[in-house]
Amino acid sequence: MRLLLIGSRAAEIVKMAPKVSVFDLDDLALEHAKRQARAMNLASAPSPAAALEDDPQIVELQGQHYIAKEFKYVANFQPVPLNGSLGQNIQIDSDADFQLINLIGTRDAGGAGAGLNVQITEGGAGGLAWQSAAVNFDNFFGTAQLPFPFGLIPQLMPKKRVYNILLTNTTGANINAQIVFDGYKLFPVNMAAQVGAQPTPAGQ
Amino acid sequence: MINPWKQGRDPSVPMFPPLGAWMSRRKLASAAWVPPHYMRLQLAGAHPFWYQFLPGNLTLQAGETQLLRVTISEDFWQIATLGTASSALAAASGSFRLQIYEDDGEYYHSKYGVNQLNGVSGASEPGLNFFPHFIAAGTAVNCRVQNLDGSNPNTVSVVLWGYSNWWRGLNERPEYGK
Repeated sequence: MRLLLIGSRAAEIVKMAPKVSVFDLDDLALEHAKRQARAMNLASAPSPAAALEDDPQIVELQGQHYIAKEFKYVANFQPVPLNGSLGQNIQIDSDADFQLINLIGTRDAGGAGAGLNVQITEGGAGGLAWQSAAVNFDNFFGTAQLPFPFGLIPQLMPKKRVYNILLTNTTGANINAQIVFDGYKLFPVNMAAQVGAQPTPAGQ
Repeated sequence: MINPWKQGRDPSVPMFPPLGAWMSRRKLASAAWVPPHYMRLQLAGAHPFWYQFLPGNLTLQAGETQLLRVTISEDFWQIATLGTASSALAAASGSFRLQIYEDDGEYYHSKYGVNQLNGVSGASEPGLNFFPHFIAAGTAVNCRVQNLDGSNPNTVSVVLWGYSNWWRGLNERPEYGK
């Protein structure tokens, strides 16, 4: 009789136990993250940073919190002349620093192989270079579907800085190209409402 | 609701989208693989840099082998080997073979020559090293390339991409607009 009672009790416990699957890992990780110790210098009232802690728009760099707003800087080359070069500048806007994540570019088919080469310098023409020598376009830029992950380690592009992009065309025909710096503008976290990053409170 | 920024997250790993790019394919319910924290710390402050083997865009005649070279000017952590070729050779191996070695044979990146499709990738979905490979400043890096197209010339370009120590601290200097 006692064995029967133990067996039935075990069956009840199994029925009551929640079914946990691998897809519950995100909830478990989220709960675990919330229980992590908070910085001791936070006031008892939640700061904007703490209030947005679970917000994926928030990034933390060098101890500061920022709102990351997706943005693309674009440079058009229409066209790069045959057997010639064309330079374009990208200047970071004055409203926010920029975190470069991906390098994306498109070019005419004639730029395949060795046809189109890239050099990027910082601080204007003749400034510090991103490469030891001109690099083939296809070794520099990916696509929107398969972007080149330039920003594996965070790379900050300060506001107002100028980047010069020089494309050299070694073919006998004009080549059109577009280059995109894909990443995030970083706004101070207290500007969340101004940049449209503040969630609408529930019930409104 | 699944939060993609928190899913399987290790609290000691900062959230940052491109870290996931270190694994070109990741399972739905697992954290993205990234090199260990101590290794990523070594890259702090470094700047992405392309080292182009010279001569760049070298045209190899049918079946020809040539030697390319580049000297690393500052400490460098290689993340990927990128390459392009002009040949339309429809071979499973690709149109060229390469072997990279440092300091005149002191260190080889491969035991034998590696086919194009096994050794280099384009900037679209580059194959990333699991761990950055360190190359000291002043190292001469050689790349022997062989055109596998036995009938046509092939214009080949090979690049080392990674993070250069050259830039450390520069972004904080006022003359660079900070």
